[in-house]
Amino acid sequence: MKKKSLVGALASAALVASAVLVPSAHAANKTIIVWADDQRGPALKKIIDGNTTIAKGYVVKVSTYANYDALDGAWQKATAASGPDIMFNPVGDGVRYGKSGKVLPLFLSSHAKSVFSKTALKYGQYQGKQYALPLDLDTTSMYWNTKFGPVPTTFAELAAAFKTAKAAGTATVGFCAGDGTWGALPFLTAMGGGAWGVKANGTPDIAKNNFANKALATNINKYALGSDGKSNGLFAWDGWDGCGQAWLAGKALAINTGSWRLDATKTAKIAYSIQPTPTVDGTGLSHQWTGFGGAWISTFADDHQVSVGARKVIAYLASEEGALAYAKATGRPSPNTAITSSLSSDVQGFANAGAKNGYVQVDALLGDSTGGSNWYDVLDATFKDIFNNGKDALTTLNKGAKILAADWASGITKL
Amino acid sequence: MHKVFGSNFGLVVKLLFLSSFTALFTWMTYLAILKSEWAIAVALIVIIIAANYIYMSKKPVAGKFLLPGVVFLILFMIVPVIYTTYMSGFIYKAGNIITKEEAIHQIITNTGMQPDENNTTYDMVLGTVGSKYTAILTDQTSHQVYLGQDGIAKALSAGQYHLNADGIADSVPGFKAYDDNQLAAADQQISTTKESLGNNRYILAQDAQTAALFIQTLTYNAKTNTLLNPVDGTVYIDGGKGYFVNKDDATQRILPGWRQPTWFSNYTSIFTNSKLRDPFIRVFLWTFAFAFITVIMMFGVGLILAIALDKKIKFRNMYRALLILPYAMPSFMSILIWAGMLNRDYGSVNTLLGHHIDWLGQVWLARGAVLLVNLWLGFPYFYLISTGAIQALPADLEEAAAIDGASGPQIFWRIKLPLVLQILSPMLIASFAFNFNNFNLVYLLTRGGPTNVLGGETAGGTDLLITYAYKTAFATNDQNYGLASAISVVVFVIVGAISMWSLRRSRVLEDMR
Repeated sequence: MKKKSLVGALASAALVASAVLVPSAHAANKTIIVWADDQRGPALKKIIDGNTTIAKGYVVKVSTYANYDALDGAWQKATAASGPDIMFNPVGDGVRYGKSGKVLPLFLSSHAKSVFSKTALKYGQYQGKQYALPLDLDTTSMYWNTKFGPVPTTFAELAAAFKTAKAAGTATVGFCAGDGTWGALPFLTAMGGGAWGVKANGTPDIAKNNFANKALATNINKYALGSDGKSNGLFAWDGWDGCGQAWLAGKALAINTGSWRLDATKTAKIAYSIQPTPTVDGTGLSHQWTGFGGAWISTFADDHQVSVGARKVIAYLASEEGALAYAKATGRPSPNTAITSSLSSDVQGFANAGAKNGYVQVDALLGDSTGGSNWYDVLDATFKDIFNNGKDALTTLNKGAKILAADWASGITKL
Repeated sequence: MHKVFGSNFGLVVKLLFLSSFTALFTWMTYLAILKSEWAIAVALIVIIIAANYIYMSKKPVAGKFLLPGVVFLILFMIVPVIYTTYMSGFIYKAGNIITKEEAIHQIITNTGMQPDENNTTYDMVLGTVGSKYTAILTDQTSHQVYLGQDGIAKALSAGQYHLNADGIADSVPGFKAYDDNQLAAADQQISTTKESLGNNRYILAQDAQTAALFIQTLTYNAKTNTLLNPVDGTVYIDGGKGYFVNKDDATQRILPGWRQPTWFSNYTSIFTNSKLRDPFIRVFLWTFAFAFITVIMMFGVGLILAIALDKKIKFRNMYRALLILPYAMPSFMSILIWAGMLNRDYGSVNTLLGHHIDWLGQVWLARGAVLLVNLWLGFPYFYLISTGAIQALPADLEEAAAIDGASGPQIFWRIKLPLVLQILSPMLIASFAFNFNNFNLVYLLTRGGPTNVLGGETAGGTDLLITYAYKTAFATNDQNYGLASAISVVVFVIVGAISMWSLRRSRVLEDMR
């Protein structure tokens, strides 16, 4: 047995030695660890994974998480031992990330500051410092199925076209919020409602609560409810797995969604045109949430002694070359205005929509800050009560507005 | 079998496995040490030593079987429980994520460093003069050149430096500029470059080529544990709640904060804060009812089917195979399919019924749906174990009872059921504990809803304590992990207590037998 044990010990020792020696043999470049979600990760793999030239002396390694929640969960638990050096996440998380103390301020060149959308940059700031570099624009627009006729110039026309198509049995949905309650703002604003107001300088005006008003309630009653006081099918907000499937089946006249549904729409052979959602009477603009995906440098980059390299990677992504490579790889509009003309016409359409009538998605206001509920759940509950349960529109909207006002009052102090 | 593993071949296979295991764990230890994760490194070393001793020695036979289980038990059960309990004693939420040391470091280097009002920026060339790390800094606006060494920025006059074609100072006498590899190697040095201009003004490197002027607006005094704003003299003290706060106005906080020990306040808030207490009690009652009813239902249906198929009937094997199918399918798929089937507008259930019933949108219907779907997912398991238990009952018991004149129902209720219950008690208790925390079912089917949001409810009609804890941790802007940990510990204590009580009770029954 002693002999056998000796053999075992020697074999173990040999493998241990190899395990320790092999990694130390290829430790030349310092590694910059990048974390991203399933949307940005594959694109980043194409453009920066394994790169050793953007930041000489460093190699970039991209890790992709299954979805945003998984990424955010890992980030919350991350320590210096496990955390990334660069993180790709919604810029709207600026406040939460800024106050976490886990991200470093960025220093953007004056050129970058001049070509990036001011609004996009603003929402990557916290207490006056830039923490996130905005890289992609998450915004939506209305896809119109042209088999139902020319694009309506008012929402009233859209409602009339739906009435005709429904009677003919060719449509089940008029206007689909293809991304659930997040994508339902164009319906609200087209019908005369909305969220908070916006001041001249582009910042939220929470004193103005557009969620509940008589015009919105009247228009909902007039166009979107049937004789039983419940939904007539004009509006659906159950997202891609719900009314989105009706869109793909050619049974929905219009869907409000982003560039991420272009491929599916083309594959389903839907003839479409893209434009903003028209307002009920064709005057003014409807609005949709506009979020930004972006990059952050974590404090772990300092711990890992790669923060200078990480800043070079950020500088590359802020450059026209880097921003264009990123935009082409993700297929999303870019907040870098210098490259807009180099993108496809569809993507440009979304970029223009975002610039023209996008409302910046301020997560600190949209989230639950009072221990009550958030914008998305309030909207869902409001729509359910009005459209499914047949409750009075104005009374229901007023209830929702009260909760939202409390959230906004609390959230605005955290900006 | 004995020949194979008792021979040299067996020894070689064992050595191969053990060596590979040792190499893998040593590699992990090496990484843990590199990242200064000492507790993990020590734990891995202990596991390596224990595994080599136990599997290379003849004596600890039981240990050979127990070691993997014990290691996994510690790693995946005991450590998370301890960690969760530990975290429940902290103010641990958005803004209070890092340690106090890390927070002070961030406050001094980031929060307390404000760019000067002109956003003064410098072109920077890094290198050495002699062996001294040196930064040559050129003000992009005024073109004044500074020499940064030993934390001091010294203004240079014309003639003391060399300008390149772009008008940037790139050399001084004796200066040797870093190349790319040297810059990469000096990463930490660069990121901490801080050259004083006096009067609380510092030039900080922003990357390898650029620096900017900052005003130090907060300094930390370790002796008094206070922050001072040297510009306006404001003093910030440790407010005891994970933040430095203005000495004269506690509402003025400095961010980031830190994880502050808070002992039992997260626990007490569950029961004293009405915003938490009221939904907690409602969710607790439903959780208890759900776990109890679902186990009874699954056991009842499983047992009935087991009894029905205990008789020799035609196509019995086919029926048995069909009954196992729901169990063979990944549960998350089944739940999502059920969620689709129960959809108010597009679901096949409503299509078949020709109605628009909001199965998942009305509280009691949603609760019924949750129970129904869980019955679908769980009855095959109870069918299987009930079949096993029934088949394990001695046949002569039934015969003897029949001879004594017992009727079929009497045999079932008075003989078979008590014996089956005795055999299956541990499984029923385990199932109760599992369903008490059946996160997947509720989250995938109803997301805890429906919630009367407009009525001010914060917990949904089908929320279990575990989904409520999840929402508490992740669904609000505050992301209160400390409170969610406290709720999780309460759940653990409740489930543990009920399980222990039930196990003891079942042992009493066993003794009675």
